[in-house]
Amino acid sequence: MTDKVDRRDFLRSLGVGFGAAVGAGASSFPIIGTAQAQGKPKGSIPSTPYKIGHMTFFTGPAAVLGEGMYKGQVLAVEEINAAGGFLGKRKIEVIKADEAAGTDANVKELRRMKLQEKVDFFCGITSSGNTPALGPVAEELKVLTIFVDGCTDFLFDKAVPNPKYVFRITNIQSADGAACALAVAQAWPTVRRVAHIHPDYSYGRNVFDHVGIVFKKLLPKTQVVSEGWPKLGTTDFTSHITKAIGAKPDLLVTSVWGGDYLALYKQALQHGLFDKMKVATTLALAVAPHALGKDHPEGVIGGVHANYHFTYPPKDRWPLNKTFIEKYHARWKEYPNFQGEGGYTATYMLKTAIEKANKLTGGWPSDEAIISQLEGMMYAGPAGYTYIRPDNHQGYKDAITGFTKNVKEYPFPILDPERVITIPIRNITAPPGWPKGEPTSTYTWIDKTWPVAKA
Amino acid sequence: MNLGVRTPARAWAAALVGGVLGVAAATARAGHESPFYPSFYPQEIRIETLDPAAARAGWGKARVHAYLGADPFSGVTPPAEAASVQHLHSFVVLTFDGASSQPRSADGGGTDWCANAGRVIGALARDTGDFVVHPYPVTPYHSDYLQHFDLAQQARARVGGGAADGAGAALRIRSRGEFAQSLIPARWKAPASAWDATLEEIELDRLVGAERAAAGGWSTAPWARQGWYQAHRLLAGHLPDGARRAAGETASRRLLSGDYGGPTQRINLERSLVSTLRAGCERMVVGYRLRGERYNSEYSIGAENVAFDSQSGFDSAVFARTVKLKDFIWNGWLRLGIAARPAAAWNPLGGMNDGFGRMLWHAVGDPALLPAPHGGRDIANRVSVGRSPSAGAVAIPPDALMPQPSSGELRPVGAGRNAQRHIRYFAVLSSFHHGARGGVADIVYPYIFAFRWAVDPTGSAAHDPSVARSTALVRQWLAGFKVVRVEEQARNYGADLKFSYQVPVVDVYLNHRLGDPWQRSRADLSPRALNPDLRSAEPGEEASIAPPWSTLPWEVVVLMEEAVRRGVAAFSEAEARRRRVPWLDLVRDRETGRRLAALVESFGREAYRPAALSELVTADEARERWAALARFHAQHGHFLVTNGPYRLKSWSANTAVLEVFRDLSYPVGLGTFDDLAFPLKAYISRIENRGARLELRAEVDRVSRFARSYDVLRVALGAASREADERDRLECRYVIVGPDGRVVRAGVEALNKAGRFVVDLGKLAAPGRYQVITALVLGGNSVNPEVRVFEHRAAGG
Repeated sequence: MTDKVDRRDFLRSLGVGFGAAVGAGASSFPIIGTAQAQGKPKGSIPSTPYKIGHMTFFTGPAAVLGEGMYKGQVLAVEEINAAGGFLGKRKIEVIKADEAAGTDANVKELRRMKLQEKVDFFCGITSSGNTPALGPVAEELKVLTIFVDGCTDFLFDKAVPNPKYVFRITNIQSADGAACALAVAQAWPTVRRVAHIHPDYSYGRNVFDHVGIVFKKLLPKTQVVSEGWPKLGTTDFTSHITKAIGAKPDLLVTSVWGGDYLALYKQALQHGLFDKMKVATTLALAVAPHALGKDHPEGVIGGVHANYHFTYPPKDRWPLNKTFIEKYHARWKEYPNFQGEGGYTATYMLKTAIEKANKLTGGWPSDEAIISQLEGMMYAGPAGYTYIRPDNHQGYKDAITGFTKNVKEYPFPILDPERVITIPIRNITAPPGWPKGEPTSTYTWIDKTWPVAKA
Repeated sequence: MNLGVRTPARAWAAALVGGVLGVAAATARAGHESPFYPSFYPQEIRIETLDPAAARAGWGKARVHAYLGADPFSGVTPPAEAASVQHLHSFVVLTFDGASSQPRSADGGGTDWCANAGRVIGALARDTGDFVVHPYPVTPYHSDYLQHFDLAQQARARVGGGAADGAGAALRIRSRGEFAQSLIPARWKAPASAWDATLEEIELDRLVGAERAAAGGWSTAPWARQGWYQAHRLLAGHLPDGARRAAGETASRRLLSGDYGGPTQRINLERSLVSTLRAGCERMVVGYRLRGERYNSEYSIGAENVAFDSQSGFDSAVFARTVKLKDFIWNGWLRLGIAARPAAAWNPLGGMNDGFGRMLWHAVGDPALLPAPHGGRDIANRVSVGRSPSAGAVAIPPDALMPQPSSGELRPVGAGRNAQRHIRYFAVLSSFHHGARGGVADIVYPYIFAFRWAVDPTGSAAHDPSVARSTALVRQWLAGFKVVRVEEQARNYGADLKFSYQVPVVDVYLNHRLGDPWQRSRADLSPRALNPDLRSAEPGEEASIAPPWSTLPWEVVVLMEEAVRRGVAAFSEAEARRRRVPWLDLVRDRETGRRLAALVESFGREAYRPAALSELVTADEARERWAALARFHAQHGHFLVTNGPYRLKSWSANTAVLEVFRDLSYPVGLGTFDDLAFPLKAYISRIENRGARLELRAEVDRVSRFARSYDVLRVALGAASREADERDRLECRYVIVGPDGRVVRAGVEALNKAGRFVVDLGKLAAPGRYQVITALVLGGNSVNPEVRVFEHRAAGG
């Protein structure tokens, strides 16, 4: 598409929200499914435990992500069990497994969980390396599954193109780069010279691609003036920082994450990088709310994996988030990351689907009945609404990002509550029926359908 | 030479050099998370000699994250963020060595000494702060405490029942050291000229330090941390000549060579040995002393996830492999203060044996197995151990190899040879700091070295008594080895996050075997095995004696050997003094460095490799190795090359700065040993007597982490527990002591499906009263256990 449109008009048409208001997703829909108590179940409900197999990272560097997911699910399970369990009868047992065992071992563990432990439901998964391996196995084993993360587009683009048993509720990976780029286009439309520092593996390349394609459409005058691809395990980012500074960019985009991002920003501070350019990140605030120090500069686009930050939706406007944060903090003495919210929401989505299916069928519903209720579900959780698309079983919720800010209530930077950016996920995701594309369907959809904005 | 496999040795080497490692081509399948990061948390570790006052002054400014040595806050109120870990530091012993304290009993049995010892202990004996009265040499900080528990209690009761007030005529006691001096009541203090006994503090480091960390990290004695062995080291030298000394030496020899019928016999032999050592009271253990070491726990400048060793504190390999800065998810700059100045030469074969050197080596070196910090069996680090199929003697394959004394040449053991133990090792190779990939030659060279440096009657430069001592264990135990194959193992995290490793599989045959009473009979899956598909047993006690492993590349060992042979330097301090040459230092001695560099250049030209390696290393490979070493020296200015997690970056008179070696070929990643930072305990909550069996219920500690802190909660463990890993890590150890005071049965039980431990009390032959001594062990933590004793009366038959 070559027709040029006004950038601000196009951003408006995408529904990009900017400010303190609750995003479109959270304000446009009635609350349909929440953690409310269900009515009296219909029919006879067995009292046998309902077994959930939960797999996430409990060891290694990704444990900082994964443990939150487990904690979120355990919190939900404890609440549900305190009320008697699913349909007031079936107490939930959680069997956990460490995702750090590796993809091959994880596939075996899923089989073991289903065939030996007889799990009723499989949940969790942080790594996008694992969902494409586990998804087909879950389908083969006919085990009802909600992946909390493992957000690669590849899962439903190619690995499980016609899912029946497998669902996923986090936004897909392409949303990271797209959301970051849209935030730049919204907040800093005058940038022209762009430097990139990304980890030298697929995630970094995914972000680079999707930032690039959005910039091509919305900021067509930008040019990439520097690329840095630190290898996995890099501790000294000096060469990448000096290279970026040397290219005199207006903007640095980085998807370096976790401990690497801490090392990067602390070294960047020493080089005065933040004074020389604007900085946009995809994951700076996503790993754990307490990860960054107060020395982190304010005003950086602090990505939250396009998913959730515990300060948004604001407590005073979205009670579901307020309650969740209070309960999570009381239980675990920390604030949830997006995985924590995901584990909690996945459990309550399952509960909601079970209750709705029970009302239709009576007794304990079959997996097929539960699946029919998950498909098309619009669920109101702490992060806002999540909509499960029936065609690909992917959950969609408004992508968010924003700007880092230090406030006195927290000993770490948060998303600036006055400048949260929300984007309806449907507007940055390939629609149903769009042909599978490379590197992602979303990439080709943006490339082929978005207009180029006037400068 | 046939190395025992069909694949030619050179083909292995080629395969290793060409091994697949690291990140493959990118696709869109992987996520933002890399589930594996090689090496450990800090990206830099600075070790600096500081006196306690300087450490205290820099505490609030994060100049020191942890301090190795005496408490810098001794005598002052420590700040809230000065957290402490405690470990067994020393024994306090009383030795009747004065001229007037000869035994008075006719048979020399020392009755009077024992009575006097009781009086002295009664007079001294008050638990004060870090000093614990414990008149028995096996303490709660030893993994064999359970099998000595009743004897230790009896010893304590005897003291408690004696002249606890120190009544009676005062003995004249002299002291060695300030602490001992502080314990002695004024009226018992001896004049300088005459005394009855000497009270002194003997530090564990002085007692068994050398055995806890043998040369090169190649081989360690499994008994060095056990109470019976330390008791022998502490007391045996004071036994009078005669039957008791002979009995003690016989028992010790049998224990060191596994010359007993099984675990129960071993326990009785250990008990008998300690009783023999104590019987005459020539030297008595009065108690033990704990040392607290400090780390800064403040958020955000402090540290967390701190593992330490129950017998050496931060002076342990697990410390650098767990400690994490609070301000970082990973990475960051860690600063360690240490009281000791770097005195020993920096060579890992005969130096680095002082506090500073050990701390440096813990991070730079990488042993096959790590000593379990809180008791139990060693922990797999760079090798996994397969199940040993043999229950008794096993035939050694004729084509297994043995190094020849002096030359180290590898020759087949030949037909008709048997071993007592067969262990299959899976050794995970990686790149060395100079970039060369590890190979079979590297991991078998320690065997060659051990035999090349065996006792040399000529007294030439090719001998160092210190090295001969530190390698003696390998020579005594090794009966042959065979490289079975080289496997490729992978960590697969999907798509472009795949890591492949070369893993030689090596069968090692030993002349002796040990009967570990706490070895679980079922096949355990080592939680740290590189590949969970590899069914791996927990390493047995013998696994650390002669593992096929080296953290040093063969050419660095050869360089040191040749430097010593040519008179450039000596491995050990004693030999350096005797031969009046420098103590070999791979880092700090410029003149030695210059001469070593010249040797490297010469060896590179010659493509030199020892004759013993000629079948394992080609001339081209040798040339490449020497070139890599030369390049490393040119770039880094030293020769301390290893395949460990940290690399020496810079140094000065009182500092060493290490940088993380986050090489993708390094197979152990951050988080691997995190559970060691929480030495959790288990407790017996209920014992039920079912007649022919005891049933025990458990409570366990669980750690709940949040933000940058954690809680440890004690919870009941029931049948419904789904914490499968916790159930696997939990065990009940028991010892049944018969009416005659001998152990009749000992064993270890796993939790059953009903969530209970069952101890079988059937088939106790002799009628009478039995003591069932039990303790629960979680995750191998047997330190300071909660011991429960149950009285059982058997009808016999």
